[in-house]
Amino acid sequence: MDTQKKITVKHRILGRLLRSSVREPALQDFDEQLAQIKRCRGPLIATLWLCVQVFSLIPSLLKDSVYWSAAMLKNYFKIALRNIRRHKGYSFINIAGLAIGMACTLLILLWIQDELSFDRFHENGSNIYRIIVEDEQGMQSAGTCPIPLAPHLKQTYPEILDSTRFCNGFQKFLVEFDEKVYSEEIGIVDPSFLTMFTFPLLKGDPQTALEDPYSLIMTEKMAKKYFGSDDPIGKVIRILSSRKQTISFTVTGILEDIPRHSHLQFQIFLPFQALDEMVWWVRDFEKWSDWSYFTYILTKPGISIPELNRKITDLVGQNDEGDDLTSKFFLQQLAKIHLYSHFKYDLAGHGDIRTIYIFAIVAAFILLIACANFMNLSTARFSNRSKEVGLRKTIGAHRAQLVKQFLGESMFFVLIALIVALILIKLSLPLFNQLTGKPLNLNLADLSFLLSLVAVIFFTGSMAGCYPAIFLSAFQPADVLKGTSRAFSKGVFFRKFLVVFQFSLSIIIIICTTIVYNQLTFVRNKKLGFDKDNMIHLPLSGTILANYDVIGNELLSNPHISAVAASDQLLTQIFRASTGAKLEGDVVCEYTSINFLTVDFHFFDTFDMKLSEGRSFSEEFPTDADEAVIINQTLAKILGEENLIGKKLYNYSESRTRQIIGIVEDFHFESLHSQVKPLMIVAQSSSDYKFMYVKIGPGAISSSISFLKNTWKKYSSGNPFEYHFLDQIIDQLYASEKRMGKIFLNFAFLAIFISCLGLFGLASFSAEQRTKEIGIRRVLGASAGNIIYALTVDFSKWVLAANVIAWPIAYFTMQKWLQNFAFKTDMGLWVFAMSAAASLTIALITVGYQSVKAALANPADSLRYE
Amino acid sequence: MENMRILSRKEEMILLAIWKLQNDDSAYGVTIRSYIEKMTGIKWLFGAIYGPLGRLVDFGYVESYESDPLPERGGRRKILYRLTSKGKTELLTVNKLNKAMWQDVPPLRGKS
Repeated sequence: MDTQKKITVKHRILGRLLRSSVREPALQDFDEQLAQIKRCRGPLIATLWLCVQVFSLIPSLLKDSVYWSAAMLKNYFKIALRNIRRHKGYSFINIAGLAIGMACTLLILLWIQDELSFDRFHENGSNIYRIIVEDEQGMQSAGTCPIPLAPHLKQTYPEILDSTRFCNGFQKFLVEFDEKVYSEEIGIVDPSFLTMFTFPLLKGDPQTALEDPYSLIMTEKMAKKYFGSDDPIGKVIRILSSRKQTISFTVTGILEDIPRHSHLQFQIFLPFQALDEMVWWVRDFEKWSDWSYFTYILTKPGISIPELNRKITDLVGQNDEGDDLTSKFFLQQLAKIHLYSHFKYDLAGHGDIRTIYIFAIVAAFILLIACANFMNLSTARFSNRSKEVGLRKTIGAHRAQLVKQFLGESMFFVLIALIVALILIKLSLPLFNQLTGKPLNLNLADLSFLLSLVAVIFFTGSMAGCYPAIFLSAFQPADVLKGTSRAFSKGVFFRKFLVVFQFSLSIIIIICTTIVYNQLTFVRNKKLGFDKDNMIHLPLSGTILANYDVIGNELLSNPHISAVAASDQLLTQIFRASTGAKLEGDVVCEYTSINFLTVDFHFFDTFDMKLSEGRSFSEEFPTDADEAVIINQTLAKILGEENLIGKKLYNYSESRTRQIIGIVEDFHFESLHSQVKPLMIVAQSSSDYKFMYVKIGPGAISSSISFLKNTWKKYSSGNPFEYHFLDQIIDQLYASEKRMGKIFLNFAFLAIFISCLGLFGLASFSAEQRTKEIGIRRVLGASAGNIIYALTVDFSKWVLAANVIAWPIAYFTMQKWLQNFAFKTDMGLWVFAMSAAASLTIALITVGYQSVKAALANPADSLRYE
Repeated sequence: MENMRILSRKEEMILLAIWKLQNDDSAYGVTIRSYIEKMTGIKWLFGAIYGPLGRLVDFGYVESYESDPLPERGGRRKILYRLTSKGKTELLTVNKLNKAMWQDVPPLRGKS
């Protein structure tokens, strides 16, 4: 019986609430009354009545218990405050250490929360997937799909409700309105983009805004930039396509600004129908071998993902003209795109789940160090209170009450520390934002943040309070009050263990930070195989491109400009690739992704690249412009033959053959995370160039740039002058590591600082405990040096032990991290030796001050009382 | 009369209810509550009786005794209450006190 069960539960509640003299009859009467109501007015009313009766009893009875516990609480409070006041120094160290630790942890939590909240605002978000491609080796290689896939999927499979493609043309476009010309990133999307995703339109109709091939929508921010306060709808904007044509688009809709937490950060969108006019390589919307499109689908809820994965792979397999399709297709949840995309071909700006894990671990480390600190000082401080425990027990305190008292007291400390921590966060947030490049702010009204605060309080409070609570409450009052118990010595081992523990964590962080920095320096100094210093690159388009040769010659007339070259892709961002190649006469095609770069004749000289065999492109051989190819050593190795010079190489994607005229030494056109990939370099007519490289002399950078600018202006017909240094672009490849290194460095300092605070507190405490001992030693003839030695050697031992524990952990962690890089530094013994030396020095300085103070004190003062 | 503890209104009402009901051997929680409700029109919470009732038992104004086995309690005995002599004295004292308080007050006007 259901109600029967409920009644027994209520019995138990009533039983607790009522005084014992009437409990039994009350329960019986209660049953009778309940039965009566049930009989007359039905079971529902009876149950309702029961609930009302029981719950309205609670407040009045609670009041009683609260009153009495409040009286006790007041006493606990008073004692806690007295203790804080009596040991001002310790309390300060205790709270400061914990507050810094908590501030760090909370800052990191804020950051993690921000990273985790990407793409959560879409209404259909849980049913939107991006289709990603995995190649033969099981490497997730791309977020891009064949061009006809999206519409075909929607037609073929009913469980796919909608689909949209997204293409950014892999470049920026010049956008022009009246006098305003800016270079902008543009998203080219299917009309369903607006209905699938939750990017609301402020003006215009989402159903029709992208229907017309010459329509355009932009964000409110962009509209302000181009039109000011005018009504943007109906305005005509000109965009320079990558076919070098100027196309007019009419604004048909204004988007709300794209939220920061979106992986798609574009301001201007064009309809997909305009793609073939905008992008040079598209001629056929049904070409299955053109894999350059991010494809998103909206599915029915509750579909089977593996099955759909298979279906998509099948569909591509049926249509792909190539004989064997080795790639597999997978669905990637919208919310996972930001953190789980490590693809070669993808939009920029994704986060990384591994960074999140690393940061979470660092946060946990720092909090643990702070907790260990807090526990340490608390046990030391509490051990002075064994008399209090004895007295309380004698008067009649239960053990449970004492446990509650100590836990409560440490929670109270944690609460104070938390308030300090929040103030610290408020103060340091601008700095942290600068470090992380995110506009984070502390929103106290945020429920999940508040919950995590409460969690941190309880975790820290109970972690820090549990040891003293359990340890102290177990004292036998008789022993304590007689003074036979050696309370302090009992906690010594535990406290040493904590010192070792927190120092181990700090040392791990020190070692990791050092190695991260080493690796970054290594990366920066590594010879890349080409000359990157003082190399400026500029985008080529329009009239500049048309006059490229003239400009080149004019630039070279300046004595500080030593070389000019051009290519179709930026040297460090080669994205074009062929899917296979073979030597003429071979039967088997090497199906592997081979990067493909078009350059001009001066390219190799400008970058000072060495050819290991053959010759570079030369104007003496006019056929070079069309029929020659230079390959890199990696590709030569793949082709696997000696004497490649003069052989013909068949390019699978272009279906044409070229003669190999040279082999260039491998150079790193990608970041050092990966090995050098196979590369074909051809020299072709100038219409394909997108970038110009200008090598300038070291001494005259600013004058050369202004010369460059003037020359540019002469030919640009209004195009903005944009230039970058190549080495800065290369640096950006390691931006996330660099940022991580910086953040790590800061937190490493804080971790060490907190550990030292704890050690300082502990040292002064132990010096204080041993005042008499030191006094007697001095009287018996010990020198100050002896005493300093006695006090410090103990701590040094434990710090060394911490080193021994930390080394293997740090070693294995960093070995794992370094595996991310194809080219890495040695970890080197010196890093470990240095961490040992550093931690020992810091510990000695911290302890030393107290020891010297204790050793130099006049023994008469410490012994006078007895 | 020094140091006398004056009964609270609730206690007084419960005492009176028991006094009234105990003749029929039917003074217990349910009946006390319904009697008070009938007399005053105020619906007490069920548990509200047991606070003062428990106090009255503890003071020794009221004692409990067991009835014969009853069918409505599944053959178990019901716990009933009756006043002790101390309780009766107390009730009388309160009554006397009330009367004394009401004497010589100027006449009250108003709806009764």
